[in-house]
Amino acid sequence: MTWTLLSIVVCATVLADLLQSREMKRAGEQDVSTRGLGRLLRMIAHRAPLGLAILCMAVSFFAFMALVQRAPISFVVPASALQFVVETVLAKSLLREHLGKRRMAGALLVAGGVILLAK
Amino acid sequence: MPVPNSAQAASGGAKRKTNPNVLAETSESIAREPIARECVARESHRSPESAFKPVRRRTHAETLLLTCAVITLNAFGNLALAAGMKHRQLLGINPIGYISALFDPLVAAGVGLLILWLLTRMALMSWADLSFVVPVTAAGYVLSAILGRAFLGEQVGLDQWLGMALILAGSVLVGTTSHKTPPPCERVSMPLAGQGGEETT
Repeated sequence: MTWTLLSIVVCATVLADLLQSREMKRAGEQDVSTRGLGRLLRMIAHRAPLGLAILCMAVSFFAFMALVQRAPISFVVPASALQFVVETVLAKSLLREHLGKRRMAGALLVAGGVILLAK
Repeated sequence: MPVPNSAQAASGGAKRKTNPNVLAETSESIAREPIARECVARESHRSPESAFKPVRRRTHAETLLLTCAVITLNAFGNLALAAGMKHRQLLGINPIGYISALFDPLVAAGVGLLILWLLTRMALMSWADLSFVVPVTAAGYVLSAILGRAFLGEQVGLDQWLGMALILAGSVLVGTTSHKTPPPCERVSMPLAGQGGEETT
């Protein structure tokens, strides 16, 4: 059960971020004014992949809540560090982003730091 | 104002700068170049309003500023939510508990801040790569831990400080890389861009 919940958390988070990134890049650079934010809200309602991304975030949130009730936080948080590595790798292979050495090293440092946080 | 011809009308008129010659040229190059087709596809996904504005690429400084806003909104949203929930009983599957929690001003403020966080993060994703946004916004863990210590009296041990230092180092390192991979159409015209691990700020 713990591992199922953990994989739901990681998969849902990764899927939500990939969908959001893909859709937002397609939409072009958005404003962060009040009007711009209102437009983003409407985009969530009109673009199915963005709606799906928000749904995935909700699934991930509730699975995370269920997970912390069953497993110690020292297991949950380091496992969520996996998300940084998975997302960086998928950003390269699926979203065709250019990963330099500095970006990969940075992602690994962050993942290592998150593992230490829960000790 | 000349009457638009049928080719322009078919293209929706609003999607691209409508010049019949350009249209003919792009449709020819679509047949030849798979990369060009992808570029046109990207353009046509832009909403009509943004097609009229000149496309202005956000600078690295602007991107970092928005990243800071995203981090701050997330940390303060979580702090308000945690402070509001701390003295409440544990939530089960009963939805009434969640609804009544929303009437707590701290919880409501937290939810509001987190909605703003979601929207600004979406905007940030339209400016920058996912592999830039995710590690850089991880600096929010550090801010959350510091806020938790300052306002909620949570303990921070040596391992946590070390972990926070690593996270901060990682996100600063990623923050110094170029925030956006140029689209394939620009990579074709500048063959050296994006090759050989070059990272410019």
